Amino acid sequence: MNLDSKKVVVQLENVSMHFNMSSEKLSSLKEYFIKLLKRQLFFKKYVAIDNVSFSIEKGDVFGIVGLNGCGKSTTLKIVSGILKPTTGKVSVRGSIAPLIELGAGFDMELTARENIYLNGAVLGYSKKLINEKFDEIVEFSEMKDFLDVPMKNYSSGMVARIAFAIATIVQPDILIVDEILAVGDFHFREKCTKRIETMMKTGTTIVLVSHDIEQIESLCNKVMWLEKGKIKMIGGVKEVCEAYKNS
Amino acid sequence: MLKAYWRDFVRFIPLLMGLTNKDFKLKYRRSFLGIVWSMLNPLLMMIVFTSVFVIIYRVQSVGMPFSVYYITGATLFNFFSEASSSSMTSIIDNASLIKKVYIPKYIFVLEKCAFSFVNMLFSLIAMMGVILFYVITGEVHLHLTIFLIFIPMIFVFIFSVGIGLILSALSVFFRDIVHIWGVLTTVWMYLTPIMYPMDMLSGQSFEWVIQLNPMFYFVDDFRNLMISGIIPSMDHFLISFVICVGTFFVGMFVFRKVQDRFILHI
Ligand SMILES: Nc1ncnc2c1ncn2[C@@H]1O[C@H](COP(=O)(O)OP(=O)(O)O)[C@@H](O)[C@H]1O
Ligand SMILES: [Mg+2]
Repeated sequence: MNLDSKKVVVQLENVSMHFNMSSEKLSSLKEYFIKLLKRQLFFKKYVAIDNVSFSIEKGDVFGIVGLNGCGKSTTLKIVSGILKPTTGKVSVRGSIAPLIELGAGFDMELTARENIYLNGAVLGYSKKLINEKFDEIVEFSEMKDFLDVPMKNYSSGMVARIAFAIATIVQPDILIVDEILAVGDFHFREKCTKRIETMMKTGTTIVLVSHDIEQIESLCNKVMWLEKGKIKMIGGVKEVCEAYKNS
Repeated sequence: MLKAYWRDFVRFIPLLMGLTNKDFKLKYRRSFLGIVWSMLNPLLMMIVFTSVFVIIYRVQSVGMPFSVYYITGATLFNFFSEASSSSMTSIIDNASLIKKVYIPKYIFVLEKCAFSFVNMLFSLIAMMGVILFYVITGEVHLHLTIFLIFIPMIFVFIFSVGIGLILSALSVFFRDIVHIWGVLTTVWMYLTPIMYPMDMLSGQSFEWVIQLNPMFYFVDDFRNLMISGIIPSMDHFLISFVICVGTFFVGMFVFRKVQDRFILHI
């Protein structure tokens, strides 16, 4: 073991995630008992993540690439503690701000103003902190004129703006970004990229999923390529992205 | 370990309050009378039941004005019924959140119980109004024991959290419970002396059912403290205590055992 090695903040050891696919397509009780007798009921598993091990060090910008359904979001959810893996060990050091899918924790019936407070609480921020940062959130998301409109009337890009602004008011130790930048317009994407870059410089570890391979190439220093739940390749950004693009 | 739990809980107290606040906003949004409904509703129900039982069924004397008898029992029981059924679906209803952020999941159950509790406090105002009316007419007297009513209220709160934890966990795996529970609480309500006098059941072959009914103890003690000026016996107090703490711990145990699998089924 290299003593100079930087501090590991995220470590997955032999992690697998199985989803149970049996729970839906049972149309009748009879079918249920037949399956039960044939012992198929509890064995139809879908392996979304298959024995994956990797570690992320402090200050890394870690990209994950792969085709739809290869397990990128599932990996991020395991890192964030949202999903408990079926087998394997996950260790995480530090606070996490997860940006997984749009508008996590927004109630679309409520206005943006109400949602800022609610979502802040969802992320574990105190009311006092949000009061202090409220103007900054509004300014960053550029949603001043829409603050008292129910969020169901927002476009997905507008929702993303608010979500990103709230999640990043406190500098987390680890920021997790799952394709959230894809919906924003060009101007806002640039703004988010800038904020991510500022966080990078001040030591935040970032885990990033994006279909924009150029964004991965420009931001990340390490990339993992997943294929059907297995690691196809992991390493420096250049080699992995080259291989991925040529596949 | 315990310390870590506590820290987690404290960190999410703002969320608990935020969600409760949200429930209020959404419940009364675009309603003209708003929060007044929380007081008006129990009063209207009281008028309906008093009419039915006193005028139509000519129910025998309950030892106090029927309206007072009914509203004291119903306030507590309605809290339990509302808290348990809204807790039951709290995990399923918050699926989108649970799938996207890490939150201790019992927060959702606790929030529903807290929301119902605040609603009960409003019903309490209505109840006090009714009682004051009968105090003025001289049919009811006030006693100092009224200041102890928070004891059965806390008991029934803890009991509801326990039941809520069990129901919410079960409903994730067996949705049928959601449909059955409404019927069960109705049966439960009729097995609790809310609309008929306590002694109507003594000597009946199914009296033991009442003795096994936790809500009987809570309602009886509540009413005694509120109206009759009787402090519950030590037996009652201990039984209530054991029931609610026991239910709470069973609920925690069941919930903790299965909570990591919720996300796969919602
Ligand atoms: N809760 C779930 N239940 C069953 N299958 C799931 C669940 N979540 C994800 N999956 C499956 O796991 C696989 C990986 O999904 P995901 O990680 O979202 O892929 P992506 O790389 O596109 O983000 C997909 O095939 C998906 O259908
Ligand atoms: Mg995904």
